[in-house]
Order: sequence, then structure tokens, then C-alpha cells
Amino acid sequence: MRSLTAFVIFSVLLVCGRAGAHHSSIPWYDLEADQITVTGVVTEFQFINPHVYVILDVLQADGSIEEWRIESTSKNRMIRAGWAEDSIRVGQSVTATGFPARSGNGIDSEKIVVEGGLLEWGR
Amino acid sequence: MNRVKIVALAVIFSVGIALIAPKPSFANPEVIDALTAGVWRSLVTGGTNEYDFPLTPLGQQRFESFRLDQDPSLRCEPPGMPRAFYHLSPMDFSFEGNTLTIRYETMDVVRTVRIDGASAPAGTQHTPNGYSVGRWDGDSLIIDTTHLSAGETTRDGYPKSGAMTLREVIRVEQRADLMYLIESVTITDSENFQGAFTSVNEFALEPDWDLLTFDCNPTEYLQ
Repeated sequence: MRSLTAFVIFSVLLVCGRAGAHHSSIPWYDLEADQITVTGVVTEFQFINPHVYVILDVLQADGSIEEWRIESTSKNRMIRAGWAEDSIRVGQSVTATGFPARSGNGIDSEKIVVEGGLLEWGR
Repeated sequence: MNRVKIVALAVIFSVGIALIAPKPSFANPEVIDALTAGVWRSLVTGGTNEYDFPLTPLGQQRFESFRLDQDPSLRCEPPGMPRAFYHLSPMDFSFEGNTLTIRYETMDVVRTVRIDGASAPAGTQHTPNGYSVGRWDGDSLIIDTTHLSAGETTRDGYPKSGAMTLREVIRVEQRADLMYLIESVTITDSENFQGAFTSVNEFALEPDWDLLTFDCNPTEYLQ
């Protein structure tokens, strides 16, 4: 199962500034921190306004599973970029990059890549 | 009184009425056509909701006491002006008679602007979008807004009081084959801001777009 191959990558991306961080979830994320990247298996895709969410099961180094919540832009913006309710399906592998939540396992995503680049969202 | 005097008085009366009556302003039909030709998309794709409003001590106090977890937009309450504008949402314009309707996609905000030259009537209530009066100055549409209800100017808690006024200046401009809308917004708020604050944003025309419904879902965040 792909979930067994999922793993967490925390990487410094040397992203400058706060480009793209424009929506009202900002206070819940640390925009001064380095961006992080997380790869996991989709357990839920909430294609909603004001923000789209992808819930991931992320395999940890010790074999345990952590739930991560990936927050993106509005559903309407993603619709205009060609996304739809079925663009991400439960069980798919997703990699998300963005600023970490101040509390809990969350990312304000700047980039979401589905299944090795088959579908990609960036801002 | 002879007939000449009566006619003279009638003329003077008519001129006086004409001078004091509200004067509708007239638009260039080409500008109206351009404004209503589709949906306007903000050219800002992220990162510029970082304004530096010149706060009064009271405004600073209100800004610092704003609780982000009580942001009304988290409950999907439409933010009103000028915050509806600062969402930099897709928007469209429609004119009917002396009424302009501006719709903002984010939070499904609908705004009415009266273009009949009349100012807000006595007793006008303060509301999230306020009372907006428009007029044409050449090819520019100028919208003055008063009677706003207190709240937030921006999503990060810059305050808004009932004393706030807005002046928007909107014009369209063709560059190469594309049409752009340039909108400046000047804000005054004697309670919260020291002096006026002006920001300018640009939008591109998307003639093939329609506004999408927003159908907002309340947001919950990890605390």
C-alpha cells in the first residue's frame, strides 16, 4: 500500500518572503518559519470555500501515523485553475509545501502535488 | 404684476431650482460597456494585504485587542466595505437606471451605488457596506461611501468606525488587447486613522468568466 511508503520530509526551501500568503488563515501559520514539505496519503479532500483542505495520513520514522491538515486557497480559485471535487481522491499520495501551523500538524500550502506531478497547484 | 415680471420670476425660479437640485452625471457609453463586459480579476495573486494604516492611539488600541479567532469571516459573515474590496475578489458591475450594482465573489457580497447625484437621506442607517453615491468625472467613476458600521477594515483587524468614509476612483484602460480596471480607494476614519490612506489595485477583464457562488463554510482552526 502506498501509505506505507509515505514519509515526512521537512526541508528548508529557501523561499523568500511571504509570497502568496494572502488569506485569512495567516494568523494560524508561522510565516517567519522556513517552509516545510509533507508527503502523505489522502484520507479526506474538502473542496470548499473559503479554503480547500486536504487531510493526510503521514507515516513517521518510528512507524506511527500522524494526521496532517493541508490548507489551500478558495475552491473558486482552484475551479478556475481546472480543479474539481474529484481532483484528489482518498488513497492518493499528495505532497504539500508551505508554512507550518503555529499549533498542531498543519500547513498553509503554497504548492500541492498529487501522485508524482499528475496534478499540481501552486500560487 | 405685468406679464414680463411674471415670466422673469418664473425664469429666475427655474434657474434656482436647477442650480440646487441634484445633478445626475453622465457616463461615456464605451466606459459603461467596458465596465460591464465581464468579471474583473485582481492582478494581485497573493501577499499584498499588508497595509500600513496610520493609526490613532484609539485605533492602535483596537487593532491590538482584535481577536483573530473572532473574525466574523470565519463564521462566513460578509465583511462589508472596505474589506470586501481588500479581499481582492473577482467582481462585476451592472447598471440599471441610476443604480450601479457591484458584486464581489468572495462571500457573495452585493453592493448598491446610487448614481443620481443625491446624498444619503437623513436617518440613513449604518450598515456593513454603507451608503454609496457615485458620479462620473470624465471617464472616471467616483464613489463616495459613508454610513459604514463599525468592524474591521482588513482581515487582520485594522479597525473601522462609523465615522469612516471611502472614496473610490475607478477607471478602465486598454493596454495592447487587454482591458484593465484601476481602482484607488482613499479611506478616512477620524476615530482610527491619522489622516487619509490610499491604496491602488488593478484588475484584468475576464470576458468569459461568470462569478461563482461562494457557498462559504465556517472555518475552525487549531488554537
